[in-house]
Amino acid sequence: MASERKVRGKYSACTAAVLLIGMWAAPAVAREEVQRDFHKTVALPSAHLFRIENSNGNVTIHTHSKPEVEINASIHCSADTASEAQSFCDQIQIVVDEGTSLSVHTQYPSHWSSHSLSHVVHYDISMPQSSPLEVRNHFGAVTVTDLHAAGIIRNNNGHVTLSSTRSRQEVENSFGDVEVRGNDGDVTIRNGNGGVTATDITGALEITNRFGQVRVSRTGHGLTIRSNNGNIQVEHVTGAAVIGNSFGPVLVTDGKADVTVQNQNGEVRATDVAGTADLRTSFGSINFSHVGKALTARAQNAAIVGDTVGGAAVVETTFGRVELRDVKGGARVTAGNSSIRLSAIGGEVYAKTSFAPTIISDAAGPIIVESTNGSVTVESKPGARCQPVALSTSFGPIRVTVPGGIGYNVSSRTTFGKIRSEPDLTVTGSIGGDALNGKIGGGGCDLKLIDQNGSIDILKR
Amino acid sequence: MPDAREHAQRCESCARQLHLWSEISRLAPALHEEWESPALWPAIRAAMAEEPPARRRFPVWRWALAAAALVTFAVSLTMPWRAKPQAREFLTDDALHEVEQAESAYSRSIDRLSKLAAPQFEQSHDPLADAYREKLALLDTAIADLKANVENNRYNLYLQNQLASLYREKQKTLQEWLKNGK
Repeated sequence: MASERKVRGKYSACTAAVLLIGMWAAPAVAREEVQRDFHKTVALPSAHLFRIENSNGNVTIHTHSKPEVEINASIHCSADTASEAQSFCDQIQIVVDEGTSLSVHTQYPSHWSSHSLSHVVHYDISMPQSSPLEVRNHFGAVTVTDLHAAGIIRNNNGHVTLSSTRSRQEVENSFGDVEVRGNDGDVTIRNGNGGVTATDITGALEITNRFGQVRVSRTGHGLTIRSNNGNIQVEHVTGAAVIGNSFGPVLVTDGKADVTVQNQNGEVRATDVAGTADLRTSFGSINFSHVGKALTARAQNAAIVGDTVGGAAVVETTFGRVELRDVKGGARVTAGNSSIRLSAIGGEVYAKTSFAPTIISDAAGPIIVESTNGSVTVESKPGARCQPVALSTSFGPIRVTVPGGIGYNVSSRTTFGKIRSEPDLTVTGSIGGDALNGKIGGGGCDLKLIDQNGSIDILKR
Repeated sequence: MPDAREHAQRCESCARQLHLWSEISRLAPALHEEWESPALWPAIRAAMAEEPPARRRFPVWRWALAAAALVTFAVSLTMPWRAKPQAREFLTDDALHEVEQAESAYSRSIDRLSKLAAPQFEQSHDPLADAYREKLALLDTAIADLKANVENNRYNLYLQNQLASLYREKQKTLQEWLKNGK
């Protein structure tokens, strides 16, 4: 072991008789600082564990290909006098335990009474890149670079940074940010009251956080985020992404597989999802665009707006509008106290709402609308073959436009309102009363229109 | 000079040099003295009359010297060969005093905010209130933990910064609750 001591007499008195010399001297500060450096190199065969435990200082880990650990510690002490500081620094020990694994920890004096003493212990360590690592630190930052073996880092009140690492990495922190940039393997991060940033992770990534934002970019094998009270931003995820949050927005861009988001009291926004998207929230809107497969969007007290879905769409909300466009499959939309506007739906449409209008256009498949206290306006897709249509509401008009040249079996009824048909309608049964039944173009698909307190209009495209 | 001043804020030795230059400028006028030399001007005039008018030149070596001085000064400000000054690890007595005063001010502000928030906060069953309660409980635990640590390491700048940031966080949380809470 080689250790070096030096005293930094920073606070020399400013008693210069010559003005220039006095000004050249350091400004007067009434405390003394001492630094003691510790250096030791210890053999550690490859794949053997290296463990370090510290508090009140930073731990910086680099790696190399040599089967040894170079331990460099700098112990800083501050006191009223240089001798007190030196004495205190001498009592702080760097303990190195050698065995099958190598363990280093900082040992402070069991008791010190003076309120004037303060200390900081920083480590700068080079270790074999293929040795597993365990770091425990408090009140300081931890930085790990180029580790190729598994790592476990537990820290609090300090930032944790991992870069260019491999293998499985596990990080636990609180009151400090966690940043992992580039890991060839799985990563697990548990944080609290600090932000999390993870980029370029080839393995599975699992993040638990609260009261801090989470930012993820470029992950390879699946992503799981459980967070509370923080913003979540995710982009370029290759595997499936499962994200839970509350009281913060969730933004997902470029998910190459399925995306599942369960949020509360926060917005959800998903764009360019190649797989299915299952998006849920309350008291925050859901927005989506370009979902490759099926979409499920469920919200409470929130609007749901989106377009371009490769499969079917199931949408549910209350007290928020629904706007859905360009859905290749069917659309099943249930809303309460909210308007529904659907267009370019390739499959069957089912829409149910209350106290707000329902507007459907360019729907290629069968259409069912169940509304109460809201108007219903439906336009079938032009040129499409006949599809059954069943629309019902109360206290609002029904207005349906059917493609020309296609036959329907019409059955319509309203209690307080008129029934009009623009296409020629061959009436069957009696004319008058609440109901009007008949055939358009010799009949074909069913067109059922049921209303109370509202007129019914059948229009021709 | 504004650039030099800005740089000097990050460089202790440069700050000293800059201070020195400023002091020279400040003190030089005081050293100024005047005295009577009745024979000087007639002698100069006589000498000028004897010499033919010469082309005024500023010798190259003077330009070189001035440039070298300028470069030396500029380089001495940046000191590229010197390691960056070490980050400060400890507070001075004065700084600690100020930090403790700031801490008291934060505590008083937090107490006031807590009193304002309390009636609404204790009665609310809203999930948002639960979240704020959880966060405040976490912050209180962290503050207590950190204060215990600071007690034995009062001049540690990092710890004091952490503590200040927790106080700020708590103050901000209470303010947010007063703004957004139901």
